[in-house]
Amino acid sequence: MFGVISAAPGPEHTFLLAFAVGVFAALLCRGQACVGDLLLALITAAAVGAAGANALALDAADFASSFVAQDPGQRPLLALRVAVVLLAMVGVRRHKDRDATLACVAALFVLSLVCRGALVVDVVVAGLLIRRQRDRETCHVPVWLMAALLGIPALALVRAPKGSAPSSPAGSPAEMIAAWRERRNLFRAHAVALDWARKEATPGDGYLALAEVDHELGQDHKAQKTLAKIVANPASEAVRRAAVDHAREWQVP
Amino acid sequence: MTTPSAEPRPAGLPRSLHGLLVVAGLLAIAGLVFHNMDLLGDGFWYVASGRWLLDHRALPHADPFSFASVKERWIVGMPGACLLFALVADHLGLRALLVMGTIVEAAAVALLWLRAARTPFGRLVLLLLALFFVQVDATDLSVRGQVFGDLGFVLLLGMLARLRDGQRVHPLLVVLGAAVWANLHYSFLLLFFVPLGAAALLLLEPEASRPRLRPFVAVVFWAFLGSLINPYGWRYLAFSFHIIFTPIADDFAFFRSPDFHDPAWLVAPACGVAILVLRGRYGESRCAMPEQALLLVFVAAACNSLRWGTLLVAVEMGLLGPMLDRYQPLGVRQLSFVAAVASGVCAVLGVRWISRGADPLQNVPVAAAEVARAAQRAQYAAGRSMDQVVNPLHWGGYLAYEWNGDPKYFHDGRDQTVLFDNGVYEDAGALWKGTPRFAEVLDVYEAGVVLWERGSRLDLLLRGAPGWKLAHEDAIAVVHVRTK
Repeated sequence: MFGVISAAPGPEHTFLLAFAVGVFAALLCRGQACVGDLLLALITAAAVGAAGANALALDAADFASSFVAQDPGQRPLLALRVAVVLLAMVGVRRHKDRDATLACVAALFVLSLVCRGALVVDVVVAGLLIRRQRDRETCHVPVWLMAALLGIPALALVRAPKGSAPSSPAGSPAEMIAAWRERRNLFRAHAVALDWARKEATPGDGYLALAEVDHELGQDHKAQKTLAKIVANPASEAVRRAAVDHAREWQVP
Repeated sequence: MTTPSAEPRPAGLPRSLHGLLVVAGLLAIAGLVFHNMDLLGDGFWYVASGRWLLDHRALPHADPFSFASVKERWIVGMPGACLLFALVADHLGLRALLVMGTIVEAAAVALLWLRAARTPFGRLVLLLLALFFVQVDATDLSVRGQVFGDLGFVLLLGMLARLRDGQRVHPLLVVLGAAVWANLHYSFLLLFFVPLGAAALLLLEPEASRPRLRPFVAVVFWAFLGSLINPYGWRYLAFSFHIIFTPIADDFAFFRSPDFHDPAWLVAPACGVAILVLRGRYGESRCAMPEQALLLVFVAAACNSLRWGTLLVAVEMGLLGPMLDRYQPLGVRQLSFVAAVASGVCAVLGVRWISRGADPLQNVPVAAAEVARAAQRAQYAAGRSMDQVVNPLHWGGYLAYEWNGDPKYFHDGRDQTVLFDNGVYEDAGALWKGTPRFAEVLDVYEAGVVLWERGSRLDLLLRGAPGWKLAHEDAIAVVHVRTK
């Protein structure tokens, strides 16, 4: 049902890879991760991902452009924004300054929508705030939450298959006509056949294909005219025979 | 989530004044909805499809309206809405469609407003958010299945609130609700995702106070069964998934991120994160974090796609209402004064919005369609090989309604993922953008008549193109006819 993650490496891949490495490094070092560790992993991932493909427009004139999810690489960064707020919610939930911290992170979230480059500030400030208030008794992140945080960007990378094939199938005229027939666009098939026929010095396969498409479009009068041209001056005996057969078969009453 | 577990204590506002506030608020909501309600091309293809179903008493096997579609692939999406629209339009008129759309949408907003907040102060403040809900929806508000989708979502929020509070939801109600929703709008798929997502987020709640999760999963099961009650059975579910998750959706403005440099579009996510922060401190402590997380999910969805903005505001209302009910900053006299003033303002605005009325045909090319049909018939009679009518996507529905397949036209907004997934959608995009390919595309589809938006790029290109002449021009539309 779903396509796989696109093969070409992009900012999403760099980000995901760096994030995964950061989380597991933290787990390996401590045996368990805390929110601050996750934030640091996120910061690293964002920085590496952004450097990989300029996803944050860090070195471009549109640094201050607003967030657009449909731009390349932006959906995983939306997931990053969400993850930061979620981490702030979970990480400081029992701390006395939790409201101020969460308000600060939330405000930066909004700011990063107005100015996409502010995401870096959002992640860094959130990381510092949460790490400052870290309470090792309460900050431990459940494994399922870490899996979810890792999974959200991964899900963003799973793309549904494109709804339509390339609009201009390549190949010989006969193959292109077959491809457009397959896609049920007889007008496009007709255009290819017409172009093919125009290039023939004497009526041959191109004319025959044109007549066939005209017939499929329900334009038998036009098809008969084309067949008559083939019969009058055929490029080969096989084409003439096919034209005669078609003319008999599609006779207009 | 809309129902507080216990009825809050009334704030002491006189009952009559509270009643006046409710009536005036309802008037303002209905007025604003009616003021923004429109009948666009999409609404017309609902009517045309419904008429076809009523005339033939059968499901179609081929598309009767477009000459360029994949004929045998027409699945009538939202068949219940199509039938309903056709019945209303044919028996009560097009204006009645506007009224029906207004009633359904206003009912959704009003239900949310009155259920989420119960105290006068809560309702007073939440009324602003209710009107904002309509305003967020305004750019995309028209008579189509989406109005039923909004109502369905509000009812879904109410159901989730019941489950959170440990109350029972009768399976038959879920089955029937899902069946009705599936036949009215594709958004019935929310019945699968939202309860499952809510159940997952409830894992953030400590086990001692966590609601039972099984009823959430059971709701999805019953909803799945209910959604199979449609003319196409399980195939309709697959079709709906395909429609909802197609990447083509990214091409439409309302499925793209809003422009966050426009402050108006920033209000909904800003309110969302503000309520998220407030929910951590105020309201019932039980389920605070899952509700914050749910809100965060909808904030993200609204950042991803403009169309989710309305649903985000609905969730905001559902969470803010119970918090407001616990807060009483004004005394009775102050509250009475504010409520009286607010009622007066709402009543005046509501009446004003309603009295402005709406013309159901204001955004469709009524005169141009007549000219285009006459031009096409003339070309056909003259035996011209180029005699097809080419139109923009959003007017196709009106041509289906007005022409009923005679003549057929280029394309419409019924379904770009299957019906027009044969290259037509991309070619139509080239025409809409006025790319240099426009002449080639018009030749390929044997266009003899182009009915298009006045002042658009294609209009300007055809005005200067050899072999085309301008046959009609009005306030919104032009008709260009091929001369050779």
